[in-house]
Formats: sequence, structure tokens, C-alpha cells
Amino acid sequence: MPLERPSAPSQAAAAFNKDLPNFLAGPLFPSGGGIVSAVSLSPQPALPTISDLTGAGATLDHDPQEVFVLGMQDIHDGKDLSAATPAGWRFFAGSAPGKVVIGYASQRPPNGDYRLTALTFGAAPFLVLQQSLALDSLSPLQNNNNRYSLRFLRVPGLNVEAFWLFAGANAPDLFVPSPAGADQLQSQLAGQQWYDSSALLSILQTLTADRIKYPAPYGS
Amino acid sequence: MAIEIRVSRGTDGVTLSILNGTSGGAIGPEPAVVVGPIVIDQSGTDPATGPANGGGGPGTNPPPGPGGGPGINPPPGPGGGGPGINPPPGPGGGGPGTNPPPGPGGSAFGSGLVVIGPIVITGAGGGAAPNFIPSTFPLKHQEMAYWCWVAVTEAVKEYFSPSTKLTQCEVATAVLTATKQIGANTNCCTDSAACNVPATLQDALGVTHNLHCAIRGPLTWEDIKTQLGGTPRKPICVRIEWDDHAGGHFIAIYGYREFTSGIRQVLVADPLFPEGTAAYVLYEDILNFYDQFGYWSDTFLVTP
Repeated sequence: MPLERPSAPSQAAAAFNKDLPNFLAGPLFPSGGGIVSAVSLSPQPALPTISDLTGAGATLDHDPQEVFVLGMQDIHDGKDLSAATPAGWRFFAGSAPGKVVIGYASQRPPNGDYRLTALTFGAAPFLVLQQSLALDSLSPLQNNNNRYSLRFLRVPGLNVEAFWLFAGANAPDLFVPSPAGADQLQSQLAGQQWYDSSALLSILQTLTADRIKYPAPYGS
Repeated sequence: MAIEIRVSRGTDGVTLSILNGTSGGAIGPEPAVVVGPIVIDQSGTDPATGPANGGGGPGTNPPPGPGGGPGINPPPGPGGGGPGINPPPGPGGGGPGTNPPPGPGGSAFGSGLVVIGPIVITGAGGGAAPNFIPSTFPLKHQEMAYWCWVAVTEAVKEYFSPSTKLTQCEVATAVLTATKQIGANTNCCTDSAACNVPATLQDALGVTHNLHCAIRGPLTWEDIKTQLGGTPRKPICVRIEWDDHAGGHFIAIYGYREFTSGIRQVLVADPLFPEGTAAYVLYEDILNFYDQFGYWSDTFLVTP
């Protein structure tokens, strides 16, 4: 069964499209005006332009994923993955290596409207997009009538991120750590391509038991 | 460089201003300059209503900061010591000092004579060495799951001392040994699993002698511009606290953009990013919505 990729709320997509040019290389910043001042201590990765992202007629935003965040304290308190809370949407734009960006649109004060809060660019977004597109070939999805819907899970306190294949009540959810394999920093999540809910939760509980011993001002 | 010293007297006492004699602006980054003592003869004028006990100058006399430190030297273990990371000492200058006690000959206002000094002037940028040329800011991907503090510290050290090439495991060994989080005989380059622990950036930057100060809370937008646009240009190290108060993460801000519309963005280097990746984040959102879950809890200002 193909992986279902939900559409984002229209307001989230609209915010992404409206605000994206202000995060790119310019020179057009439709709602930003001109740049008053800019400093960078280092050559930064190349920022794409709008035309870089829309080459060959591609739509600006694609592959939206709802982002869920699970706090380490919730894991420590014995909660399961259903405690993860929605925190906005991420969108991809562009498709060529070095010319893909990931933008995060969330509902923000003062009025709860969506706005684009951050844009990641450079080498990583293309790799993340490739991993996302490859999810359809995941073995549990083949010859299987279970329906999975794509989300994205973050556990910031543990530096864990994973594609979340949400099955609802029909089957265990599946989680694909991102990045995968040798690039995965948590060794317990580097050995397999995917984990089911109970396996992932068990790993997160073990990691949390260790990590939570280091409160502020520690950082990891 | 010509230095202009202006002395003015108002109802609240004498004010001493030290300015760039050429431009009239603030003093730039120069080697330390000693001026004085300065004697002001007030004979024939009305006595000032200054403090009865007098004192010296109004205290714009930061002494030179400490020179470059001795490098990162893990304490010697029983077997004769660790790998001994010794970047060369800095060429002098240093952080801003504190006001020294009044100069010699300080006298009460109203006696006819006011003696100020000697005055030692260090660079307004915090004592950067005269030949300091910042390199690019080389934040790399953190090599272990809990080594954000290592990656940020390594990048800061290499930014200010480009000839000092430290590996992340060397930084980890030095810091964790100094903080006694690992034993004196543990080498993170050969036993990284034992070293995969969180640490504080205050400790880490302290070991590499790059910590100027730690501040609770975020910087204002103007302070961000001052740090990044000053002389020398300095990255800003940030601790992000996750909203459930369970865990924190260190990142660096190494640029910004400001638009005529008022949009303000900071350029973020996050050690969780793979190499060659960066992010622009709205200033309003890095304060309390970083990665949808974190807020800017602490700031670490750095120094060469």
C-alpha cells in the first residue's frame, strides 16, 4: 500500500510560499523590502534563489510533513509516543542537490497565524528529501494492506529524529531514523532501517534514563 | 593613532572622555596605550562639590587583560600526563579588565589640582591582538550524540586560532578531564563511548580560554549586531533549553540579516547539521521557538 502523504493546512502552505522569498538569496524580497545590513563570519552554504527552486516548472512547496515533538520529560514520566505534540509543518522546496531547502511553518503569536520561522539550506535538505522519497520502498509497506500516513517525529533532548509512519489503530506505527545508518548519532538507532513503536520507545526510554541526569546548564 | 582626552566638569563632577583623536569616535582595537598622569589645575575657579575624600580618575582605566593562556593542558595522570594540547599563547591583549584603584596623587575636588592617571587604554573590542585576523567560522557536525559542546568549542578555538587544529576528541578529553567527568587516564580519541556525555559550554570554553562571559538569557538584536559586526567579529554561542526542561543543546550564531520591513534573521550553525548546512531563523523565534521546542536560555560571549 503506498504511503499516504497528507496535505498541509492551506494557511500553512500559504505562509510558506509567502515568506519563503525573504529567506532566500534575493534580490527580490517581496515582503521583506531590501536588506539593511547583513553579516556572516563565514562563507555560508549557497542560498538558492526562487528560480533555483522552481526550475522545470516545479511547484514551490512540496512533500509537506507534520512535525511532532516528544519531550524527554514525557518519556521519563512513562508516557508513550502518543504524547508527541504537533508543532507545525515542514515543507521542501527544490529538488536538485544543494538547491533544496526545508522551511518550518508554525502557528505563532500574537494571533496564531502560520508563519515561516526557519529555513534550512545547504547540503542536508537534499539528503533528507531523498530519504523521504525512498520511504515508499520500505519493506513493511510492500504486499501489505496496512495504511500508513507520513509524519515527522523529533525528540530534541536526545537528538533523535525519525520519519513516523502512522498506522492508527490498525497496526504498529513504524519509525525510520533520520539520518540513517552510519550518519545516525545514536548507535541504538543505527542498526536497523525501521523500528516499530515499542522498539523505538524502549530505546528512547533507555537513552532518556541516561541523558536526564544532566539538567541545565548541560547541553548535548 | 591620535588620542583625544576631553575633560568636562558638570554639576555632578568631572567627566573624562577618551576618544579617537582622528575621528572623534570610540577607541578602536590598538595595542595598550598608557597616558598620564594628567594634572588639571583648578586654581582660580570655584571649588567643585566633589567627594570630600577625593579619589583618582573616574575610572576609565581597564588594565590589560590576561595574555594568551597556556593552552589546554590536561592535568598529568599517574603515568605522566595526557596528550597535552598546547596551542601557542596568544600574543597579548585580552578581555576588558576592571577599574583599577584611583591613580597616584588623586586629590579632593576643590583643592585646585586634579590628578588623573596613569590611564591605560586597551582596545574597545576586548583586547584583540594587533595581528588577529579571524578565519571563517568552521562549525562541524558533532561526532558523538552528546557532543554539541565539543563541536562549538572546537569551532570557536579554530576561528580565533586558525593554526590550532584540534580534533573533537582532543577537546573532549581536555574538557572532561578538567571537569573530572572522566578519569585522568581516559582518552576520548580511543574511548569515545566513555566520553559521550553532555557538558557545559562555560566549562568547555573556559578550558580553551575562549570564554569572555556567560549571560543568563538571550541577547538583544542590537547586541547581536555588536558582537557579529564588531572588531573582532565574534560568533555568539547559545544554549537552547528544551521546553520540557529536560535537556539542552548548544548552537552558534554566526551571521544575521536585517530587512527594511523589520524582518530580522539570525544565521545559525547547529552542530547537529551535516557539514555544509546552515539555517536562517527569525530572531523572534530563536528566542522561544527554536526547532519548535526550544528557547534561548543562556549566552556565551567569546574572546580570542
